[in-house]
Amino acid sequence: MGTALEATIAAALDDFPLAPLPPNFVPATMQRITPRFQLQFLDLALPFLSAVLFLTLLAGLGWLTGFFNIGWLPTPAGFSPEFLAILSQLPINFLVLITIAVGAALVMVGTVYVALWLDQPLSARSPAHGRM
Amino acid sequence: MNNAKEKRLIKQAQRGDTAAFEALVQEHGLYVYNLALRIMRHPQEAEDLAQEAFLRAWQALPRFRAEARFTTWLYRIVTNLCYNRLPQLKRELNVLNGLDEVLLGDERQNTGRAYLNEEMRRDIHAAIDNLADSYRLLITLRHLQGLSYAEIAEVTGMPLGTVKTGIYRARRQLREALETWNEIA
Repeated sequence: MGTALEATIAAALDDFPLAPLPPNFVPATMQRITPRFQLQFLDLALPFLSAVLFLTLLAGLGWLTGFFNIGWLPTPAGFSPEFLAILSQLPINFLVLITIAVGAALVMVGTVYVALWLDQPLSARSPAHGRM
Repeated sequence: MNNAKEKRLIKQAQRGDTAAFEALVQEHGLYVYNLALRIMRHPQEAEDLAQEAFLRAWQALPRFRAEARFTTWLYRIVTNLCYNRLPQLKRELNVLNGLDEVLLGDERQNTGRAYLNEEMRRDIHAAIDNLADSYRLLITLRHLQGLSYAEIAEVTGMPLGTVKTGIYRARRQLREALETWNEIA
């Protein structure tokens, strides 16, 4: 490649202009590496559904055992008397109810915590960041 | 950025220091973006690819060995992403693999007269844009990023002979496209 044209091409190749970086390239890249957590619909919906499920179970259990008298529901007459007798022997009291309510609250908080943890980049989850 | 400073930043980033990694993005972002832009030819795609490359580099950084050259390693990630997005790119390079190896000197030793006016420069850059993806990749790595043939072979995962053949053919295509300038130059 000794001709002047070839030298010209080599010179043009060497000074091929660099396009400027798009604005916000570096912050946008860092945002992808360490995204900031933003509360999304599912982060609220999942704990809400979990809590509703626990409270429904709680109410259902209370209703079945006769602990709750829910006016707009028929009395659990469809069950056999033996089954109702067994249920009435269950040690349901306020302490148990409070324990279950606290459990529901813990599930809610736990679900939000798991959502937060999963939303973190891999690097923030373990010291050896980066498992491709 | 000098070598010692870059090594220090890499070590800090390997320990999870995002500020150190941000400094590396600042330093290499322009070249990574331009390499992606030359291959993808679309600014939006190039930006996305360059960001993806840095994300992968961050994730793979704990496995980066200090004796390797950081830029070579980074460009390899960019090239692999280009292979994923442009499947014909790897095929084109593989085709070159079967061709006879050429003896290629160092074009930087060229003693010819390099007279370059704006119009010629524009034509040459347009001719580069019209090269096949594989040739553009090789030429860009060689001239834009200043890599040696061996480093290009490492980045592209191709044999050295394939790299030399590709660059030789790319230059020959440019020469043919610009033949009209021969008398003027």
